[in-house]
Amino acid sequence: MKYKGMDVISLRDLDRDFLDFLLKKTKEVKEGKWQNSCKGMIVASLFFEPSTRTKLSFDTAIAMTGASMIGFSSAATSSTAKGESLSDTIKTIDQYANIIVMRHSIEGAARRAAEVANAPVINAGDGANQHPTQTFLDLFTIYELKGGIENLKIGLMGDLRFGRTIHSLAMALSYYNVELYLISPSILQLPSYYIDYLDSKKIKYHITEDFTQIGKELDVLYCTRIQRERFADPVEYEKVAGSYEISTKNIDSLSKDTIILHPLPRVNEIHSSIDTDPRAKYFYQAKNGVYTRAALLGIIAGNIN
Amino acid sequence: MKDIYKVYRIENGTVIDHLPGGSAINVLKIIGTNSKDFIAIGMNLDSSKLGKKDLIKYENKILAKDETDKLALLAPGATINIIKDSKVVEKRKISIPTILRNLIKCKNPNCICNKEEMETEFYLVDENKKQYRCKYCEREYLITDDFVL
Repeated sequence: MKYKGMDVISLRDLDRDFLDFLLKKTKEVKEGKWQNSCKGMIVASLFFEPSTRTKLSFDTAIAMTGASMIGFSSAATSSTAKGESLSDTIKTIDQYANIIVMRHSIEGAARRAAEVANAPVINAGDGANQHPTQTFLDLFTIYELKGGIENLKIGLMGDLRFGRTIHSLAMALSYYNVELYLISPSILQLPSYYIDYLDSKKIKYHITEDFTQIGKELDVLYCTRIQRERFADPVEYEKVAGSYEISTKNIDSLSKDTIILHPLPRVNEIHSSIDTDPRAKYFYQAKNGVYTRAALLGIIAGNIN
Repeated sequence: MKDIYKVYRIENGTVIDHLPGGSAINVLKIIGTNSKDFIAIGMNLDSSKLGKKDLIKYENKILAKDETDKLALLAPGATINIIKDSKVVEKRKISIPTILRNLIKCKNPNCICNKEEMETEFYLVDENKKQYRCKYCEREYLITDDFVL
């Protein structure tokens, strides 16, 4: 009951106790416990910005909890298209729903919604800022496949500068005693304020540009996409992009127990020939999004405790 | 002392002295002019410490500590004297505020606080660097004069 009615906006607001509780309860949900944890409730699913995985995963989770769903899947079908402010849209929907799930392209939109709504708000992504439920499912997948998170060596690879999933995950992992390998081209390194954050949490980390050199060390390799548009010079992009592609040519530089994760969608960073490798866990990871979100809804509803 | 009397002597109120020359208008924007009594502004007075300095006197108004702490952003070297019956009864130091409410504007054009009619809020991250984080978009900034609303 401790977390009943809480807003879930940013990793910054959470603590280790909550993450441990969520991981434990997600495992129980996955094992078939806590069904219908939101029966009789209305969940508003407000996707002001299109999304495939997050929306469908939430929709499935809502169905699993026995709740009914209202909402929309793009701003064009909401009153925003008529010029209504976000605050007014949320205040109105707050009259109908017990829990609000929202995705918005504007940063801070979920925080603002939580201020004006009485119903708890779950941030399903606010622009380039936070995407906490993605982090929960990433964390749960590591926890489940590695039997815990403490003392793991985790590689974060790709666009560490702009990738919000990386930022949130690094923040969440910093609640645990982990060792991080930050693998990226120099221009896409983790921003200094996240480095400062890791320092403040006394997290050990290594900065490198080549995963093949440290692959055997890793328990987890978490990849993200390097976007072409981040590079002013396309030649520069072509030069570095290949070094961050996992394929049959370099997968043996990982240990046999290294799991490969990716928030998806992928483009070139993991070759499809890797999908059948037992270490490739990214689709399994996507499935965990449903259990994590179902557990979160039940916890916020106050019925999973 | 000679310069102070150029501006007007108050018997009761608050004197903000040793503001950098030319900063008084911005300081007033931050502290506000919400007083029915006399407010005196002196700009570009000669100062041995600063070369040129500004000062502001609020007659019959004792500014609260959280109000004068807002000066830490623009004029950390300013001195605050509280005057009662023509005597200085408190020499106050400025501490950097832990929260800035509706004082500065977020520089992120995609932040909700630049899209809707609402107050801004920033939290202190690093006192030495004067680094603050926006409550909404969570971006962190080193605060300079041009952040003032």
